Amino acid sequence: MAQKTVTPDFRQVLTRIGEQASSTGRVPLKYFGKLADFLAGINLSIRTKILASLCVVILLMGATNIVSMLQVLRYSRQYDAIITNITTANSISGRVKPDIDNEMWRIVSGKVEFSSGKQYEIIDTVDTKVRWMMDNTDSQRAKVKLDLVLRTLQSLKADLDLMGDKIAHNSTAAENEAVLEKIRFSTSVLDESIQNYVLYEVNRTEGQYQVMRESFARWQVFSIILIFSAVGFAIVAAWSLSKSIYTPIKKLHDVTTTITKNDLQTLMTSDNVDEITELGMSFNIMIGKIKELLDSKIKEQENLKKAELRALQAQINPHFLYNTLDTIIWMAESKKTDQVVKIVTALSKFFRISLSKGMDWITIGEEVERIKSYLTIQKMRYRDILDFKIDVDKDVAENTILKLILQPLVENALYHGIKNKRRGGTISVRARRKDENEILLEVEDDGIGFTPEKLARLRNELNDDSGEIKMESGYGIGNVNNRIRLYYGKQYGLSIQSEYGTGTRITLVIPSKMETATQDMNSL
Amino acid sequence: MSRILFLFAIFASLFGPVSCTQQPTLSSTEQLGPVDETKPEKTYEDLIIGFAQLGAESEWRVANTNSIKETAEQLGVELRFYDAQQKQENQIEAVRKLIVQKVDVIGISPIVETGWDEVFQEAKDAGIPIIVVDRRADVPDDLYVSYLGSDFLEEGRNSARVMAELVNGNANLVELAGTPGSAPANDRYRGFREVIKDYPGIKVIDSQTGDFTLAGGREVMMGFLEKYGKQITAVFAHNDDMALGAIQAIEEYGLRPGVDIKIVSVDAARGAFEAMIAGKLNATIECNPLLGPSFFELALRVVNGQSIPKRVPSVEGIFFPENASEILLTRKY
Repeated sequence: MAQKTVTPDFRQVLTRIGEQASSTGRVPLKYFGKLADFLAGINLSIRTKILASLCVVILLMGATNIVSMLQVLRYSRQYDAIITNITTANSISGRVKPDIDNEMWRIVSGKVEFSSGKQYEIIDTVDTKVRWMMDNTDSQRAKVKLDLVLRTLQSLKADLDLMGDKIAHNSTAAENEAVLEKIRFSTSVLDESIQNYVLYEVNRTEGQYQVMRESFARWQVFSIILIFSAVGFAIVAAWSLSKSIYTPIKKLHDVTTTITKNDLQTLMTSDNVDEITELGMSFNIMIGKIKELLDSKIKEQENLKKAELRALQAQINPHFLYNTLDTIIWMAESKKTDQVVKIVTALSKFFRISLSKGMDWITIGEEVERIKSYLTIQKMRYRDILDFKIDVDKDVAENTILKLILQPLVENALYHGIKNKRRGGTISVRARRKDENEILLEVEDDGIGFTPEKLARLRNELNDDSGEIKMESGYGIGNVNNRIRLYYGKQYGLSIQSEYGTGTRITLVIPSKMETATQDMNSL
Repeated sequence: MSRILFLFAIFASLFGPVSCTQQPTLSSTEQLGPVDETKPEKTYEDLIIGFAQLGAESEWRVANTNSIKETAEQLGVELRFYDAQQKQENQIEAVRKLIVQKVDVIGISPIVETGWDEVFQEAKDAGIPIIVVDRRADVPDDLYVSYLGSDFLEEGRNSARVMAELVNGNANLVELAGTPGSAPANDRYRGFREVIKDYPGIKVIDSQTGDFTLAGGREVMMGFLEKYGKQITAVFAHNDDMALGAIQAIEEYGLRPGVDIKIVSVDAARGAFEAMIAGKLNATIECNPLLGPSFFELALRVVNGQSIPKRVPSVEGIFFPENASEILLTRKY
């Protein structure tokens, strides 16, 4: 349903906002403006837009903190593992050699029994620690280096076993000394291998530190970008939000101004789903109501006019009635009974149709019948100058026509055309189907015709839309023309062809209607 | 140029299809041996390798050490490296330390050929295989698994061939020999004489050791010059460093090295190329120090129980001044 059309004035408003905004800044602001336009165009309610924008800003800001925290945690964990291992390894390397060497010396020198010596205890402690370090490191190389320590420990253990063996077999002091020397060699190699591991871990720490610094530097750049983008987004969002609030209000304002200009055609378009658009839609309904009210007001006015016209029409008839009655009187005095009968019959028929139960609409047949009565009466009065022909197609006789349309034209032809010619003439009334929807009516006379100036004046009057009835051409043509326009619509009306000294033809096209007894209230 | 091609052809016939790369690989004829099914296949990252290096007597040795250390770093091998600083007792102690640490394989460049039986036996008893690198050890074959290195004899022979051509079969020659008792010194000495005896015009008038160092080479050459003076028309040095020392001594004496006295040396390290570009050295016979990749490949095979050849030669060439400057750019050592 929603029409995605942006009215030109809406665009102008946007560009004006854009210009005002970018008058302070340069190119990047233009892009911001474009982005803001885009965001403002997104089909969301203002509430959703505000919430979404806030969420995005919070996310961007939060992400920087969370990620940096996670990184610090990660590195500190790695560091922790390495540092723990280094300290553990150092605690071993500083003590294991003197401990074992002293213990074995005490055994060899006979201060302690081999079986009650602490040498295996010491080795097992180291073994446990090394295995624990192996589990605690995440580097394959470090594991291998620790494995080397374990291997050396095995060699040392084998040396101790050898010593135990020798002592159990009552070895000489010299033999023991030799094995002790071997043990001392092994412990120094053990120290070396532990130091080798420590050195590696220390170097690795340095490496880690470098990596960490690099990644922190990268992260710094990244977080600065993030923060800037958050700020940028916030600016754009604020801008676009204010815009998406402003523009519909502006549109609403524009619509209200057009209403004050009294044009109810411009309505709000629903090119969005936000609250102000909804307001605009309700506003549309309101405008519709107002339009209805105005329309009914106008109708009332028109009806008033029609009433006035009817009153006018009612004023037409007395003149004709007086004249006819005068004629009847004159005929009665001359004892022309037949003619009196004829004229009174025609008059009574004329009035019966004229009244037509107060209807505004009658059939063409009836209207023509009335004209016939009228012309019959008039022919009796202007016996020597008036003749008439009536030619009505059968199939249009049943169509309805506005009452009192043809008669003023006929009157006009008689008084302005025939009477002024002094030599008499003929009035022809024709009605036939023009096409499926329209009927063509013609009233023609071969009377005096209009002078060009008068014809021009008359045509002007007919084309005048003001709706005011001028008395220029008496009660005739202008009045009829106005009534036709009022009832049938502005596209209908009279057209006049006339040549001075030759005659006049008035043509009228009306839509063909077959309604019976239509009330004029519903005719439009 | 044609000489190089000719010599390369000889080498090609000796060592089979090899390109002149720095990486000797085990040729395809040595198929993988039966793998011990009970253990999972080990990778470089699992290896702990010990290496007992004899010292840092020459440019060549430094390049050799770097090759081993860098290759270990690249492959992720855990390397325990000991430098014996030119003393056999240090090297023996290093091997014992490696035995205590129960490394997977021990690599060693023996400083001299003799005196290794006891410590090699200890390693064998501890179940640690030994790969001898670059220099041989005079021990029974069952005490080590493989020897990886250059054919010093052939280097000596090639030096003699090149020298004979340089001096047109006539010269009074002095020899700067390597560390006494070391495999390269012994073999280069023998190989050189094997060929030179066919040229009666070339007399080896003296031979002394310069211990493979530049300072040693310079000292010995000065002695020779004082003793024989301008009689000397050619020098054969067992390595580049001693030749460079000799060049200094000759210049100080007032003669032109490479012109008045022809010089041929072994190793083909950077210094030799620079000397050849300067016109002070006439030829150098390559002895490739970049043995790291081959050594670790062998070690991995040994650990995984695959069979390896007893003798793995490295790829070598001979270089002359004509194209020394181009080759110098591609030289890693």
